[in-house]
Amino acid sequence: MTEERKRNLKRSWLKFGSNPLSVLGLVSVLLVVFLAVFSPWVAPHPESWAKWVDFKNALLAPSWDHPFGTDVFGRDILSRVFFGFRYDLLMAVSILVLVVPLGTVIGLIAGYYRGSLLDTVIMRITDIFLAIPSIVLALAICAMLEPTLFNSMMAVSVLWWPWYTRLAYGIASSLKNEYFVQAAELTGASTPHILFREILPNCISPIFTKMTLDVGWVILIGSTLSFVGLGAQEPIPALGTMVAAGTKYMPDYWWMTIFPAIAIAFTILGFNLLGDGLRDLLAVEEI
Amino acid sequence: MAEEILVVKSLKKHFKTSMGTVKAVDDVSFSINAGETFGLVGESGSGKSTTAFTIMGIYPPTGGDITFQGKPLIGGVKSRPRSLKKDMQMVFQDPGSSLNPRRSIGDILELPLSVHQLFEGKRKERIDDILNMVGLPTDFVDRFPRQLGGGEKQLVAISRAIATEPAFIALDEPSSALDVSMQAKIINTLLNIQKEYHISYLFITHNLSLMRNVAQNVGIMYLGKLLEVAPSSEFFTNPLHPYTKMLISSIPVITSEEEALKPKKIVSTGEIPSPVNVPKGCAFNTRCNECMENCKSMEPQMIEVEEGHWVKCHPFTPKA
Amino acid sequence: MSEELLKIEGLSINYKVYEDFFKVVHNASFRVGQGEKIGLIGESGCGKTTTMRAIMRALADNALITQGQILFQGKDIIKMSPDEIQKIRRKSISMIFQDPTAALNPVFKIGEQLTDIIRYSSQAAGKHLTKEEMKEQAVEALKNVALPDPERILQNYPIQLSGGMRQRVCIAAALISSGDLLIADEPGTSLDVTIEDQILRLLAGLVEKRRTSIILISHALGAVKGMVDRVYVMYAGSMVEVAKTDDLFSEPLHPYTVDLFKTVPKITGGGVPEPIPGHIPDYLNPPMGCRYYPRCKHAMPICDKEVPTFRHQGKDHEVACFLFEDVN
Repeated sequence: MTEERKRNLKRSWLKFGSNPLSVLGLVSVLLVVFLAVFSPWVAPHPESWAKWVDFKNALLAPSWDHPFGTDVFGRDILSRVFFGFRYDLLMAVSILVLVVPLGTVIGLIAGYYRGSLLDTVIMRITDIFLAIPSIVLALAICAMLEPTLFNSMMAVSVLWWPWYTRLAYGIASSLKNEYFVQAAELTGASTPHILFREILPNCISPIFTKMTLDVGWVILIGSTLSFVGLGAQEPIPALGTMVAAGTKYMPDYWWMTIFPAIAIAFTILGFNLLGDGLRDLLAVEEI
Repeated sequence: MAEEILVVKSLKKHFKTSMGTVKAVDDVSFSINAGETFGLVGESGSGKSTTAFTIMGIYPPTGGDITFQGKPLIGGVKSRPRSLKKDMQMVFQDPGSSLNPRRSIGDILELPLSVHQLFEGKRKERIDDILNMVGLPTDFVDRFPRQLGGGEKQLVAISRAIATEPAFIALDEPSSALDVSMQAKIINTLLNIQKEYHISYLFITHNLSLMRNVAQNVGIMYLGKLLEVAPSSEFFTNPLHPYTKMLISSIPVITSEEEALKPKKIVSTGEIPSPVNVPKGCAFNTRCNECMENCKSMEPQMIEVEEGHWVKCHPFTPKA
Repeated sequence: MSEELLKIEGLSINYKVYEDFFKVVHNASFRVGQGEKIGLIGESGCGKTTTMRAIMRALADNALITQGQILFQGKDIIKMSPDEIQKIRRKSISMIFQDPTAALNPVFKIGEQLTDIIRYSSQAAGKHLTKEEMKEQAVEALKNVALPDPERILQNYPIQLSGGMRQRVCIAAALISSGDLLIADEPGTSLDVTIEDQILRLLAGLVEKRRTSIILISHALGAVKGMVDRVYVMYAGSMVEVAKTDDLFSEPLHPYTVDLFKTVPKITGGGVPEPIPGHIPDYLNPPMGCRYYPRCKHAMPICDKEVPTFRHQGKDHEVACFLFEDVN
């Protein structure tokens, strides 16, 4: 790594660190990721994640032994929240890994051929998907299929790809008239080369930022689906499912709902702050 | 007789816009001899850049013929044969946007070589060579454009253009965005390369002092039309078209010999009309101080007044 | 002898970027007399714009004036209060920028922008004008810059005008609030050569008529030559030479000035000259002594150690170079 590169990275880090909210976001995200990855070893009551009953300890209020209390089956809610991070994060990552490449490629093609019939067809289809309220579409799809974690992921994927298409489209259509793209065309470079080696690298930063922000939103939608019963089913400790299960016991056993809800909010907030920080950073610096 | 590498005949490029047809290039004809530089001069809206883009194929021509190395060029970049693209290259005006900010210099320079499958197995050496030719250190291959200054970026753009050993390079204001000293470096590099590799240049600039010392022949454009073409020294010592005289008299110069060379008493007046509303007859009639009656209704023909010196102006058209 | 309107003494300005300090302007001195026309030439990055912005107190947030004074009519601009500076900007000094498109607000009509300026500058002079009077002044201002059909132009948005017309509007605007000093920063650079010629002649005429002082900045040497009385040459943050225009162009003294003039191609032919070898100094770690030392053909050991100050060499001709002794 050259001196110059080291200096640039240090500078980027300082700029990022100068905003306390961004750092807070980063720390929160790292915490969530850590807990998600290491939940089987870090959770105080790892058995709580699935089918487990311990009716002696059911519905206990928060205490030292169970900081988030226990649920109706006697499972430790703190541990289930850790595992909940795991599922929600997994869901978010799976969806984005599928959606981002697909949406981006479609957007690149439409943007590069802007003004043509192909562009019109692709973008109008994209517009249609964007016009439908996302929750409605997701609910409709899940209601048609069996309510499982997998199906809810499919539903969310279907309505998420247009955002990346639009993002890539905007960048590709503005870049296609830049001199460096024309220089590549003049040299005789093939269209795949221009799309993926010239234009795509310029999209990475905004896409990456959007992905970071999206993790939070995907988790929210997934949790909403779980909350209405169309997503992950018991005993999977998806945070939304946990919130739903606990509503029946409000307000006496409030900890069953409140703590998972706070966990969802915490995760989304963390990713949002981190995404904002990244966006501010990438607007000025090139990493 | 010098061999002509590029012949442009009655080239036209029109754009249809909501406000009317913009005749960006309207009936332009000239030729370039192998190993020489042809300069195209003009102000904004003159069509000089569009001419270069049309010749290169970025815009397919609306009319006219372009002949390169004896073979006709049909249509735009997409319809031209790939082999042609290694013989014709271009250097753009803005160094900042002519290099992909996300690719390293080495990758940028390798692209033309890999597209045309040249220097197989010896690409790295070739890239080092072309960097040396423009006076840049070879460790630039790992750098990114944002780490380079404007002048260095332009040198990389030139290096990219010569990578495939082209016969012809179109240069659109290659040094206009740069300082006087950087400009000197760029131009000297271009001239050295031209001498060594016998490359022909189409050189576009609005800087007349520079043009005088770079081009063998100069053409001046106004609102899409070519008004005068002459060998470089003729162009400056004996300008014929009123617009040429107006332009030369506006050049800021610092020595008294240059001041003496400038045409006197031509004070530049008026604004350049919009290209959507090209004046009828001779395009320059609205600003011309030698305007005659028929200039407003009839467009003049391009007449060869002396060997190699052509002008499109009624006073020089012999009476029928 | 004209009295001094503006006097800059020993000015140094640094730019702070993260933890690094770029020592751009370095011990610069500059004088403008009442009604005088001054040219400032130098390449991009030499600090001309920074120095001019310092006069208007319009520097970027990360620019720090580390030493020196800027005396305007005897008072130090650096030490003025925001109110005093406001008054100066509205009444005495104004600036014309390089890019007229960026200098005009695209969402307001020309008339609105001009009447705003007229209102502020008349307030600063203690006068109160009616809407009609302000409109009249706006029309008058546009007539002064030879714009045809001024009433129609007041109703136009900047986008509807050409580059040359926009620059004339900017000049009109600057003339309203520049009682004493007009700073023109490369006013013709983004325009066509014939239009630039017109703009410069317009400026020369206006300034002559109103006895306003003008500082004309350019990196095009010829543009400056026809217009000004004295010329300063700036290199890497310091003024290296100043002389009456004809003297400077016929007999440049400072090695940089000599080298710079050699790099300009001539319309009489002679080929494209070689550039000055080397490059401008790194402002992070500039040379201790004369900043031109690394590239100078006449470099001497002392040049590396000490910073040369202005020495007089004949009438109104000063050079900051150890090759010359003070002749007074």
